[in-house]
Amino acid sequence: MKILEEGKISGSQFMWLLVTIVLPTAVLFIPAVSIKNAGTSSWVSEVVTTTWGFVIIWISATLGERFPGRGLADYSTDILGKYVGKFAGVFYIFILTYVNAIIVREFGEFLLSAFMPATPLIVFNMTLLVLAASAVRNGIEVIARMNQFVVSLMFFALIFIFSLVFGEINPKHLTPLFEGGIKSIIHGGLTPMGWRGELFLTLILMPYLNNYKEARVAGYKANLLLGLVLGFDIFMVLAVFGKAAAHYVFPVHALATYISVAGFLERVEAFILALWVAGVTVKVAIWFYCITMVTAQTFNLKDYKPVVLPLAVIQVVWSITIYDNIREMVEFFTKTWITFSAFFEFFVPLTILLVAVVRKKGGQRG
Amino acid sequence: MFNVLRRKIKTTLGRNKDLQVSHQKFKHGEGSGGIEQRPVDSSLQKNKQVLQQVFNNCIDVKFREFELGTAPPVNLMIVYMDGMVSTTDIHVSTLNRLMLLNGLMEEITPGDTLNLIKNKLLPLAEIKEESDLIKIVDGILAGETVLFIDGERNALLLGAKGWETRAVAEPESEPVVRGPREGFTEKLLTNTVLVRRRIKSSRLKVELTQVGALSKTEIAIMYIEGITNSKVVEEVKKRLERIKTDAILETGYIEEYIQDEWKTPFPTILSTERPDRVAGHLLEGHVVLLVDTTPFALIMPVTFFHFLFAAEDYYASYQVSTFIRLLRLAAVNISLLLPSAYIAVVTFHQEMIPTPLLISIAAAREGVPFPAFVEAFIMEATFELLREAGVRLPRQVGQAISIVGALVIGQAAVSAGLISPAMVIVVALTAIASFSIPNYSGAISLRILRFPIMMLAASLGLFGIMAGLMGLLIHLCSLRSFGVPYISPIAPMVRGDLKDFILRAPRWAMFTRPRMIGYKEPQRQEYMQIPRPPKTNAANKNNDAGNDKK
Repeated sequence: MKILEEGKISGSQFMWLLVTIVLPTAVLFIPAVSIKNAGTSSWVSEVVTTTWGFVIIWISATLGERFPGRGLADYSTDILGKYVGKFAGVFYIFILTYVNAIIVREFGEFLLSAFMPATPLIVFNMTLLVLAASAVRNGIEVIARMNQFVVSLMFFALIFIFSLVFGEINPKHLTPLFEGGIKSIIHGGLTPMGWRGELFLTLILMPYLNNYKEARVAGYKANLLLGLVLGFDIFMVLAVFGKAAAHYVFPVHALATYISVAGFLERVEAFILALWVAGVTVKVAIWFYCITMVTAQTFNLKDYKPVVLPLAVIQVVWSITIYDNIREMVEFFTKTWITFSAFFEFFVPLTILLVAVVRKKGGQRG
Repeated sequence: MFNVLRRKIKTTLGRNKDLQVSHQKFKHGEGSGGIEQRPVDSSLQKNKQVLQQVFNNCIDVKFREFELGTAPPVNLMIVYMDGMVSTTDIHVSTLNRLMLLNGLMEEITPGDTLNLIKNKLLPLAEIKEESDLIKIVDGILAGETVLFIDGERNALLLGAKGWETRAVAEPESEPVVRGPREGFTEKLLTNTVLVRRRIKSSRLKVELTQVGALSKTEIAIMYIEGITNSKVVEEVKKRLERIKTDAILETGYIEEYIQDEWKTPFPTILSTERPDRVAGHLLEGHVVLLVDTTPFALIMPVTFFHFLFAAEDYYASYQVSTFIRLLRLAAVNISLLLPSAYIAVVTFHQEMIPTPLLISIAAAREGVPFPAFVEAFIMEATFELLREAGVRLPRQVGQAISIVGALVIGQAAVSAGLISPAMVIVVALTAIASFSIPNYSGAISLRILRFPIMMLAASLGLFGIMAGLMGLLIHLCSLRSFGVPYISPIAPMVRGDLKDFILRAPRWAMFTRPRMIGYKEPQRQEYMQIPRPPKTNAANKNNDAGNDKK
């Protein structure tokens, strides 16, 4: 029915969008959190996280496939009835805006602490959101194309860091292997689940695919790729820093400071972070796009463009006021984030799906 | 808010009664010389009067009356634009044949003079009968010769055009080391021939349209049937029809009318002087516009990367051209980013520079009174000025500019302590890099964008540069050239097209045409024609050697 956009993306573009939804921030935060919880078995705990990712994709894709070509906020009224359905739309506007504000803050904080400590936070947050807003106004096709360009940059940056710190690896840091057993592995995988769960945006992005049936496979592929990259990321951080990595906020950044080639190529982390800005811009743009779409669908707008600027302003302000300082943010990520994210990434979509199945709404399947 | 403002501006402009401008409609082609449509009169004198009235005060239009050398002489008149016709054709093939007929023909039937002249007397390939006076006037203006015959209601348009043109010369804006040295000229016909000689196929179509109420510029639309997307051809024609203006003097006029997006510094239509390049693009499914009176052809649709390719990339070996393309990619980055990177590093991220280098830069900058941004801005602006002056200057004084540039500004500014030597190196590198981008309009858009990025670098360091680049990326991703995404082989990723991208595959491996443009007939050659030595066995070799000895 109404999805407010002519732009369509291909299956592979969709897959790379999903990768970018998770990767840019996850790669920075996850190693520290995971190592703190699971010690030397932390890199194995990516298996747990990836399994979770598969569950999330399964729920989103199954729900989306019941209503091909329609947006979440649109068919939720079919499933849940007019009032509860609209409420679900409003709920998602709220949640997505909140999470995107967190993402913006996360990266602003990262730039601040690692990069330009004297600059006011609002400068970074505003720049990021202005860029994202202009991308959103250009539509999903432009975001998808940008993303294809940026993903290659991000992978280049990652390969660059990892290959240049290979000499710093200390195998002793990896022992004892699988410390703490299965319990510790699961514990280490819990918090990263929050990031991986962000793949639930499949639900909102699905109507913009050329062929909605490609979404499921693309989602699984993206999830698998993320599992490999993040697992390797944790592994490298662990191998270089050992358990001390838990004390860093941004261990990958610390990894980059280790780079020294031939006495000339030193302290390249600023260059790498610059590349990282690109990744986060796209990530924020995708989230922003989802917010805009849900908003426009919930309130039955004819055009989504007028809501872009107000939403951007809300997010800028929210991203500044959301935490008092970086410690509070880290606290949030280590303690609250998992339950909070599981609620809107897992429970709500699952509930909607169950209701749809019970009430036999939509779809050729099930 | 902006809408209100826009409306306000519009109404203010509309209220200006001094401007005698109709915003609604431009009277296009208001008839030639102000005469109404009328047929040729049977009386020669009457036609002469009308034409003399039309070409009042045009001394370059010549009227010549004479008689046909038949038994009862028939009055004839030719009218032509002086200098636009071939005088040999007029003298030998027309006047000579018609006037020196004394006694050869005994008698003619009165109504048949025209056919006689047309079919038997005039040895010219191109002759048209025409009864519409407006078309006749247009013909005269385009260089055709008109023959009026007394008593006939039709006149003859003789295709005896011929005017002074520049000879085919080496294209100055796109020289090559290896490759054809022909360049387009200002004459449309020469240009179509230059292309046709490279593609000898009836599938190469050349269609003609006219644009410009006063200039009546002829534009040839060229494409290869079956390869070119016919929708693009239709779209090009439609956009050309939309142009309602007085004159087209250069392809730049057309480019600004028909490009997809006008709010962009990037060119979305490629212009070139090289017929071989035009032929190459035609074969890949592009549409080409050749415009009379200019040696530049327009190629569309194109992507950003077409501006980084030169014709010679396809003539040199694939390793060489891959290397050169990599160099050009570096050149793009340097010309766009080097000054801003220098500013950012010197101002914000000193820790990125190795200490010995940092010390020498700091020592050099010690006496400089300006912050890095101002320094860079002054030098970049100076360089742009020098470049512009060098282009506009008469050749004879060109040397003065290089002396001023090199000595006064480079040397003196450094020794006076105004500019640090590092900055001079940066500017020089940027300049060289921007000149190594083969397409002028592509290079200049990057040069313009350098300045805003420098400002961002001065205010936000590397983050600013990155933000600027992301903005640029969003813009580039949203651009299209006749429906083709502007940065197409990478975003959207078309894996097949990467063979002719930064890496150029060998000729035999470029098996298909670019998918975004020439997809209608993808295969362009036989599959896998890998060159390999002929299969010989040892015995043969020995025999050969033996034969040689004998």
